[in-house]
Amino acid sequence: MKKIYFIVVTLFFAILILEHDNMGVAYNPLFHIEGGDSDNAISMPCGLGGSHNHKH
Amino acid sequence: MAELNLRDIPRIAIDKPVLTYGIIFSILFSYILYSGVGDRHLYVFLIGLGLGISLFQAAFGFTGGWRNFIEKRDSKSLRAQIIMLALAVLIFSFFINSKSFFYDGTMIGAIAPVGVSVLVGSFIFGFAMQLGGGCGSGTLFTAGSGNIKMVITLIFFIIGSLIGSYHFEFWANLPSFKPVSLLNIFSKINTILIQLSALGLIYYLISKMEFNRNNKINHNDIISNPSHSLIRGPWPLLWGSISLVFFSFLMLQVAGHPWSVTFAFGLWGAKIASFLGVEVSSWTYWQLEYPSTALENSVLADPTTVSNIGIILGALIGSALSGKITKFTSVNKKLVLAAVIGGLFMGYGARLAFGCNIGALFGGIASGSLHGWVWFLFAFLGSIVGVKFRKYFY
Repeated sequence: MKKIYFIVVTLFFAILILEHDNMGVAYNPLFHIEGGDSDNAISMPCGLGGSHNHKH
Repeated sequence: MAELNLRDIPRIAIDKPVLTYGIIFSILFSYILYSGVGDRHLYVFLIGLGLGISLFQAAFGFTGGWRNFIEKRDSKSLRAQIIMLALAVLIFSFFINSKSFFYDGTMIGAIAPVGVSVLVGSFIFGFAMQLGGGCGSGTLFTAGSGNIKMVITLIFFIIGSLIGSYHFEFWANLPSFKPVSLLNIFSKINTILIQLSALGLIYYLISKMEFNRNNKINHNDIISNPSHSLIRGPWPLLWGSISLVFFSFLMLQVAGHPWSVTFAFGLWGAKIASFLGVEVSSWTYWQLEYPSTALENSVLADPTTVSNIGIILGALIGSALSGKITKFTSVNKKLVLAAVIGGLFMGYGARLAFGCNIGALFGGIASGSLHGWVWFLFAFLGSIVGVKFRKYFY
């Protein structure tokens, strides 16, 4: 069971890293700048909107 | 089968291989985040590690605490949660909508509307977490500390979140009030007074109910722990309350919003579904501003994902340090079924209710949002029903 657990966890971490390598970071949600353009206003990961324009 | 109580496992030597594994992956992720995403993502990850260690060492879970109160009127864990919320209200109220110490921007609260979706979603979540054996944060830290059953719960949590995002349009169109932020209605001081009064009343009521049932109550039980050690644990519950508020405050300062957990689960599910050929990007939810951006980006650009990885690794490191990494015993069919049902419905409920016990309850109340209180009430009612159903599985 211990082996299975660590295989699953390692596989999960490996997929995250490979996906990161494949996709790259086109937009960094934490690079929000006060007063910046609207593209930079998406920093709230509640899943339903941005920060200043926090739409629900 | 009784749920594993981390405090009851005899302490053994530090598990060096597991500790090494946890440290190596922590360094690897730190490097990738710093070099490939940004310094603030690295800080979010380190905060996640702190949250994971705190959750594990204090065995700080909402599920067992609520169940102990519902079944035995043991309010110990619930009182620690109320103190955590009170501390968060006291601190967060002064900082929400103000400038961050870490970046040039305003920190925002977790404010969401109160509607049918929150009522139904939080009730479903409260019900399901009693079957799944952990809430949002609880599932993460127990899965991270080697509990196979909770890994199954986590997998189905992800699937449930994905299904919830598919049905999002239906739930979003049901009746709902506009978001209510107490900080927008009252002054900071009055918001604090109102919320602390409500929390104080709950603390008083649950203490009285414990005393009435058991003819005794010991308010020091959340402070005392005869064998506690900062490094090796177990921590008194109050240490957990304080450290979780501390790391949540850092999260607010660094990420610009309160700590959240479950958005990442839906994102992971959507990424996998997309890989398998499902046109997730055509779903209404994944066309919203933040979700659509997250879907197109590297998953490590999503701060919720980053903090969740930190929590998993933090719990793994904490369990290795304490020598209490969960025993790797096989799980029976009934427990697997409970994990599947619990995980699915928690994921679905969290998507409807704008988050879990962390994003909606903790973040919502700390931010002065009414939906946090409604979430608390309906999730607790769901847990009362869930505790009754749990007996068929455990």
